[in-house]
Amino acid sequence: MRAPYAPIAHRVRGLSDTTIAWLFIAPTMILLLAINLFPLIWTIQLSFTNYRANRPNAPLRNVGLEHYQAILSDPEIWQRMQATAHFVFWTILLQTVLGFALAYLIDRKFRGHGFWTTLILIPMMLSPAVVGNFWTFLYQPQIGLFNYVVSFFSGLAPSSFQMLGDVTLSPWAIIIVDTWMWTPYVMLICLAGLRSIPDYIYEAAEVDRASNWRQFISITLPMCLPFIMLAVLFRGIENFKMFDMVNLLTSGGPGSTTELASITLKRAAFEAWRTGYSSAFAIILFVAVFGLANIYVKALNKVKAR
Amino acid sequence: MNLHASHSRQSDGASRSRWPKPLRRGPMETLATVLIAAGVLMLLQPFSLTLYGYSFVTTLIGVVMFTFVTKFPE
Repeated sequence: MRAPYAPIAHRVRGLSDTTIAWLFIAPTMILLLAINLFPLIWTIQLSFTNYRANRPNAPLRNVGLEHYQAILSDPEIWQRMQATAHFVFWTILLQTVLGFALAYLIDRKFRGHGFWTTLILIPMMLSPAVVGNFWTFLYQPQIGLFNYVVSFFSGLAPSSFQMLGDVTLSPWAIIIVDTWMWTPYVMLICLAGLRSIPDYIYEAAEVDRASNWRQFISITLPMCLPFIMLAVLFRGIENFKMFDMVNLLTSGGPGSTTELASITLKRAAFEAWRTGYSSAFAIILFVAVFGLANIYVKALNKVKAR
Repeated sequence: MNLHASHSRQSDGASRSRWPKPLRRGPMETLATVLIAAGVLMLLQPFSLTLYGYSFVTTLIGVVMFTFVTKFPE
């Protein structure tokens, strides 16, 4: 009896199924190599040279590890890395806690629950450029809504503090904006985790007279952990590379208090035109992010296998 | 029956593997993970410029090691 679907190779004479499969995926592979692998290799190559993009015809000199040594012994770059660490740590902590709490609340069925979910998700759908611009207005000491809300609760005069102009407050200003924008994203991932827990597990726990707190600690949290870790991974990597929103809000100021690593990188590459130096810096950041991604994927697989 | 046969063959193969025990995937992966984590912490810590200086090398060794050891047998 003849099979209803004969292999494609039977119809295309002279080509095996494997060849046809390769022909189908070849364009994607070539595109990925061209836009991912080639720039990476080129950046690695440039990081060992004195190349400047504004002087493409200048003689190219191999400088070896000079740029790497300069970056890894520069106290100013070290400070930028600390500013990045501060930003990444607090945004991830706040977004995870708030995102999970919101997901936990939204997961309970109540009237208008769909409407509230949509409302909470709005910030995530906005462009970082738009968010950066309108938070600049919200943070205005004279007319900004944020200062008025703070003054309403604290009793301080609205114009007595500047969120974006104060050395102490500006790192927290960018953390607040990023948390406002990306907490819904963490919430969405946690909500998927909460909804994937079967009801019969809770029913069994009820039969065993487990308290609500016990159910949360022994069922909800462990079963949501892979999802929470996924959210932490995504946000950690994204925030380590954060550029657009912070650049619009503070441009790294006042002074260099909010100058994250990516802003320093952009300044070195497109203001000082030190292409070789900035390539070395980009490679350092890439290796750190790539390493972190490896750890998280490993941890995620372990949790999934449990 | 076949299932049992293939299972016993697999376990025999695993126990007779000539791959050195300390070089198996599990411990090597853990070592690479520790190196990456240490490297990233060294890069972001605010205490010592010397540690910051060695952060990239540590992370790079960890990443390269991780890439290779994930292909090692379990």
